[in-house]
Amino acid sequence: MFDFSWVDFNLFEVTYDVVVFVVGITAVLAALGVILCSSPIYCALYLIGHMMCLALLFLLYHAEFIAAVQIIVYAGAVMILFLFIIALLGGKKEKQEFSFHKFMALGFVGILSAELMLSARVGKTQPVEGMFTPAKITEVGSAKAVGIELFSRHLVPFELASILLLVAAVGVICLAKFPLKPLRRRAR
Amino acid sequence: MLEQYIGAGIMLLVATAIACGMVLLTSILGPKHQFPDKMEPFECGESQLVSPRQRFSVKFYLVAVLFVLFDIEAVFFFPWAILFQRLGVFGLVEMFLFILILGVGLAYVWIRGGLDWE
Amino acid sequence: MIDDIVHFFEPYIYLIVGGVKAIIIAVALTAVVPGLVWLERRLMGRFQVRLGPNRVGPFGLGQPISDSIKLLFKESIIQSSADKFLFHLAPAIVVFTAILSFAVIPITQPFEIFGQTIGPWIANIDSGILFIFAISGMGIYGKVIAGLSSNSKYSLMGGLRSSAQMISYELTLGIAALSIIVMTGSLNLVDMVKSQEAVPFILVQPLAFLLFFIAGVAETNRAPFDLPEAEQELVAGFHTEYTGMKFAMFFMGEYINMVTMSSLVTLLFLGGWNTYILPQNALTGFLAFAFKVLFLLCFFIWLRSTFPRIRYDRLMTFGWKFLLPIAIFNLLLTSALKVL
Repeated sequence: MFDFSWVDFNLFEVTYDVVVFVVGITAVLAALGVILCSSPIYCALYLIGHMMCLALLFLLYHAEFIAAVQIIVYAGAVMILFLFIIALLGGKKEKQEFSFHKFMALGFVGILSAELMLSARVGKTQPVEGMFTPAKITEVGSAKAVGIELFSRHLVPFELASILLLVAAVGVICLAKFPLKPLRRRAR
Repeated sequence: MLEQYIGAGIMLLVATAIACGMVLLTSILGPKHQFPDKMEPFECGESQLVSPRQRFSVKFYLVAVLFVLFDIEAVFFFPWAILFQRLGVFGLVEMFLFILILGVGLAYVWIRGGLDWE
Repeated sequence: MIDDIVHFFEPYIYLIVGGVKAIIIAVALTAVVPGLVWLERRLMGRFQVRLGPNRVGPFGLGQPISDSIKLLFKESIIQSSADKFLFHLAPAIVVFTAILSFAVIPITQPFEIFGQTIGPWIANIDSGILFIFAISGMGIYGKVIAGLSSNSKYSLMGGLRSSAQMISYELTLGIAALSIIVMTGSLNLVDMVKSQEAVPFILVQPLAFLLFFIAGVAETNRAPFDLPEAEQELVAGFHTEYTGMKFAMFFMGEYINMVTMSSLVTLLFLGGWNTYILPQNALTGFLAFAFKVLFLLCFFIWLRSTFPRIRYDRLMTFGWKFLLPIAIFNLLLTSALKVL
């Protein structure tokens, strides 16, 4: 009879490694697509794909809430803004007569991979230990863990974020050049 | 925690299969009679006079930026809402300040006519 | 040898169960769309004192099936100046996000079969409601891309209008749901239903229910908020250039989104599978859930045949100047009442 004991591996663990690897590679490829593609719409789509891959990576590293926020804010809101701007400006394909940009991009990739090789020589990096281990996050819940950090240690940055948002709201009105109107409702 | 997402992962595959399958099927099954007039964009039977790539009202851009701002606000609400029963009055005051500052922003946009669509 | 194989696969039984559940629910969702179209046409007929489709099959039940077969065999025209890849991608995104966002909806309470407890959901994740918001937010891209790729001014205008409307009402949707999260202290949809065992949240939070429902109707682009498809002014909005099944896929997405939105309202406000009067088990739970969802779907159709379409400027100002401030006010009021 056949012996199946040799295939005794943990499917979940193996799949996890494969999925992390595939998602990571896809994120890098999508990021390359953003800089190498000449049509602005496709660039934006590649960027959306990249954001989705990042969200998946967050999810795979047990940061459920951050993954959802990544999709809602970056892949959702910010990229909608990008697509609107592309639609407003026409979204024509750029002509690339001079390949200097591509040369620059390739050079940048070369430098990055050289850095990667260097970092491989340094050896394994040490993770920064925080308050929440994966086990604890599973126990408390990802969103709760973020909340506990946000409302205890990072309270001042949290309040300052609202001022940042206020500045953005004022800034967009100034950029859009709305005429100053009197506070009264205009006569019809 | 990740075990919870296995089902969602399977659903992702199924949904991709259905969506791609339908697009493929309709591309394969239908008849293909092409002639130049049919391939023009819709314009009530006329040929296109102006390019569709025109400039649009800046209002769309404004709405998108405001959406980004308030979406970030809503995202900050979520951990607060979960922790709310533990935070108590402190959390209430905290969030009240946060909303107040953002409310000033909304009021400013409102007064300057950023929310009016004429 | 068979025992060995069975033994090998035993730890992965959840994969098989999950796959079966996913296929059942996905097929049910796609199959419910023709039924919903039939229901809408029949009900609209009744509301307008006419018969509606009644020739094909009993009560005209064969009509949506014959329609979908006809659409499948229609020519798919891609006009020459369109971007072919994006043109194909847009309807696929709409259907994909619509089906995927249903993955976290629990349709009844867990039940036991063959000694195994089976959860009647595809995935029961901790931040279920965030998952729905995130995935259905991705559906906006289908409409924007359809508008951008068609290279037709009606499509572009419709796509921009549609997405601007959806992002405006998404805020109200989220903030109205937040007042429920304040009540339950969890993002998990099953927990939310469990905390409504005594009384559904519609009685505790009527204002939040109203806001959520209005924003939900606007989010699914249904009448009276169906501006993107305002056929009198924009021809057909973002799907002007689409033909055949790809055209139908946008409607499929819309109807599936309607089902998801009705299910979400049921789970958040109407008590989900809690029957309240009948004895509570998995079957009556499912029936109660299905009844509530069906009622809400009929309500959607009723709204369509009752209200005229809102003008676009009114629509946007209604969302930003009326619904959003009220939603924020309601959230603050809820939390203040809760803590004081």
